[in-house]
Amino acid sequence: MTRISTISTISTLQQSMGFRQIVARQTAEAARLAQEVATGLKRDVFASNAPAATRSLEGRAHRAANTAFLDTNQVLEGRLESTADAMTGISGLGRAFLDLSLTGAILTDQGNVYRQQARHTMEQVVSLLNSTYGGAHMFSGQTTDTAAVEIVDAPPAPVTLNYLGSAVPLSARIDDNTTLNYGVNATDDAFRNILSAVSDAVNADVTTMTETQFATLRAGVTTLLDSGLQQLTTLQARLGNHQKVLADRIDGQHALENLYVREVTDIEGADVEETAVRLQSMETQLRATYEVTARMGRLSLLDYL
Amino acid sequence: MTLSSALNIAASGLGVAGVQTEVTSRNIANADRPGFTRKSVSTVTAHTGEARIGTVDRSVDTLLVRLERAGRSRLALESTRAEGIAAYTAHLGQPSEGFSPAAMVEKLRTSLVTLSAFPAQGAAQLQVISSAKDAARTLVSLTKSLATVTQEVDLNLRYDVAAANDAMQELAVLNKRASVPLDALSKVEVADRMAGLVDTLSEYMDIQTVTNAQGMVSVYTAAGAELVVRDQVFDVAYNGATGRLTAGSVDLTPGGTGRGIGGGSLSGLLDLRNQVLPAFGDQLDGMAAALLQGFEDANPMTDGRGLFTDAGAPFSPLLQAGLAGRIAVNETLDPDAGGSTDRLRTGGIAGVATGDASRIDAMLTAFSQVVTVATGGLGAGLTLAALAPALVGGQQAVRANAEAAAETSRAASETVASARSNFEGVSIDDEMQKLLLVQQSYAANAKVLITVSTMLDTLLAAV
Repeated sequence: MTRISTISTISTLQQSMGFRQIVARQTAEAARLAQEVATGLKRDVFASNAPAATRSLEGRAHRAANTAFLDTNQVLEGRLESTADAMTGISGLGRAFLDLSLTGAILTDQGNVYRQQARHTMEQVVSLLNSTYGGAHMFSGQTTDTAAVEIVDAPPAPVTLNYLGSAVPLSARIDDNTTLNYGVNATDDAFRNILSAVSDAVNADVTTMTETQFATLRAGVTTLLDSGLQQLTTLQARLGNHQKVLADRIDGQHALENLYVREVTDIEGADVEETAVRLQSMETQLRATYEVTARMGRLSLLDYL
Repeated sequence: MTLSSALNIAASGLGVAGVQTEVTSRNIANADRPGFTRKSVSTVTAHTGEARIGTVDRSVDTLLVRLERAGRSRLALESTRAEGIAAYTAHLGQPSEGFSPAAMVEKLRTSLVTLSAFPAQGAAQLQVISSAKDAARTLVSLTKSLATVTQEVDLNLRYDVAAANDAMQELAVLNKRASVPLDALSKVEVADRMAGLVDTLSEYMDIQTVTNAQGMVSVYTAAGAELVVRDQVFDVAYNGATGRLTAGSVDLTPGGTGRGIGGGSLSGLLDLRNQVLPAFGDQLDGMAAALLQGFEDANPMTDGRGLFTDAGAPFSPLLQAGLAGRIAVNETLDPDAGGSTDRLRTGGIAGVATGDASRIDAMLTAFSQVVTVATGGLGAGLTLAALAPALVGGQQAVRANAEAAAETSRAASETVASARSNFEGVSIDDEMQKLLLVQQSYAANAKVLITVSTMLDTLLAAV
C-alpha cells in the first residue's frame, strides 16, 4: 500500500549524502584546478576541446620534425662552411701557383723550385680535397667513407692522380619537401683542371728544358689553371647560393618552431591566473560547505528533547 | 455502559499508540539505510468509537520511482561505457605525456630526419631502429590493453548477468510470498525488498514494471521482453562467443534485431564489447597496416619486407585484423636479433654509397603519403604523419564524450534520486515530532483510563 505524504520532509540520510556529494564534487574540482595551476597545463586537453587536442598532437609532431630538421640543417650549415673554407684554400693555392706561373719571376734554372712548388700545391690541394667533416669526406660525393683523390707516386712512372670518390653529389633533405643537392666533388672539372695543371708541372723534366720550353710549359699550366680557377669560382658561387638557401630555411624553421610552441601552448596550456582565481573561489565554497554541513548537523530536535 | 465503552476506547488508543511507536522506531532505526522507505500508520475509528489500525503505508511516489529507475539505467549505461573506454585510453595519455602512438611515430620521424643527414652513422641508424621498436611495442602494448579491457568487460557481463538473474529469482520468490495474506508490517517489508530488487535490476537493464492488486511485481525490459512474470523467471543469458544477450528466447542485444535493451550496465558493457572496443582495435590495426605498407613501399628490403613486419611476414591486407598485436621491426635490421642497421641505408643491396640517403629520404616521404589501407573510420585522405594524432585524438574524444555524457546523466539522475530519497526516506526530526504526538496521545489515553477507573471506583463506593 502506498500513500503520498502531505508533509514534505528532507530525509536525514539524503541530507547527509547531499552534503557529501557536494563536498566530493568540490574537492575533485579543487584538485583539478590545483593540478592545472601546478603544471600550467590543462588536466584533460581532450575533454577541454577534442578537435583542438588532435591539432595539438599534430602540432607537436610538426614541431618535432621541424626541430630535427633544424638540428641537422645546422650541422649541414657547418659542413657547407667547411666545404667553402676548403674551396677557398684550394683557390688560394691555385692562385698562388698561377701567379708563380704568370709572373715569369722564376727562371729556367729554377725549374726545380717551380716543380717543387707544383708538388707542394698538388699535395695541399689533395689534402684539402680529402678533408672530412664529422668523419665524412666532403669531396667524395656519396662515397663519404672514401678519400676523394690520392697521389700515385711510383718512380720512374710519372706522378698521377687517382680519383676514388663518387661522381654522384651529396644531397640532403632540409625540410619535408626540399632536397638540397649541395655536394661538391673532387671529380668536378674545376679540381681536375687545377690538379691537371699542377700535375703537368710536377711531371715536367724542367732540368732539360730550354727557356722557351719552360715558358711553353708555364703557358700551358697557366691556361689550364686559370680555367680550373674560373670553374672553381662558379662552384663557390653555387655553394654560396646553397648556403643562402640553407640559412633562409634555418631562419624559417626557427620561426616555425616558435609558431608550433605557441600553437601547442595555446591549446594545452591552462590560464594560470584565471585557474588560480577559480581555485581560490573553490576553496571558499568548500569552507562554506563544511560550515553549513557542521551547522546543519548540530541543528536537530534531539538537542531540545 | 458509557464508562466501560470509554475504558475500551482509551485502551484502543493505547494499542494504536503502541503500533505507531513501533513503526516510528523502525523508521528511526533504519533511517541510515539507503532504499529504506519511510512507513506511516493510518488509523480508523470503529463504529464503537475505538481507534483501530487501518493500514501501514510506504511513502512512495510512483512517478518519481519510474523516473529515478530510468535515470539509474541511463547513468549505469553511460558510466559503464565511460569507465570501460577510460580504462583503455589511460594508456594513450595526454599530449604532453610522450607515450602515445602519436609520440612514438613522431620520434620515428625525427630519428629518420637525423639519419637522412648522416645515413651511414651507426648511432643515427640505431636510433631509427630503437624508435621503430618503440612504435611497434606501443601498438602491441595498446592491443594487449584493449584485449585486457575486453576480457574485463566480458567478465563483468557474466557477473552482471548472474547478479541480475539472482535478483529476478528472488523477486519471483517474493511474488509468491506476496500472493498469500501477510500482516501489514510484513507486507510493507516485502514490498520494500521487492522495490530494492527492481532498483537493482534497473542498474543492469532499462526496465518497466507492472504491479497487481496483490502486490506482485512483473518486470519487463523497456522494449517489452519478459524478465519476471509473477513467479516465472526468464533467465538472462550471455553468449561470450557471439556477444549476444538473451532473456528466454528473446534477443536483448542492443542494436540487434530483437528487443534490444537501451540502458543499464549490461547495455553499456555490450556496447563496449561489440562496438567501441572492436572499433578501437580496427583503428590500431589500421595504424599498424599504414606503418607496414608505408615503409614497405618506401624502402623495401631485398626480400620485399620493409622496416616493419607482420610477425616476420610482409604486409598483407587480408591479414590486417589483429596486425597491431603482431607488428614487429624487421629482424634483419635489428642488431638485437642479429641484423644490421646499415640495411636501412642499403636495403640489403651491396655497393650502395655511404652518403646515399635516397632510401632514408623515401622513408621520410612516406610520412607525407596518403594512407591507402583501411583505418577503421579515422577518416579519408590522412597521411601517415596525421594518422597517429587522428587515432589518439579520435579515441580520446570518444572517451571525453562518454565521460561528459556520464556526467550529464549523473547530474540528472542525482536530482531525481535526491527527490525520491527525500520522499521515501526518513527524517529523524520528523519522526521525533511524530513520537512526541504519540507520547502525548499515549499519556492522554492513560489519563482517560485512570480517570474513568476513578469514576467507576467513585460509583462503586457510592453504592
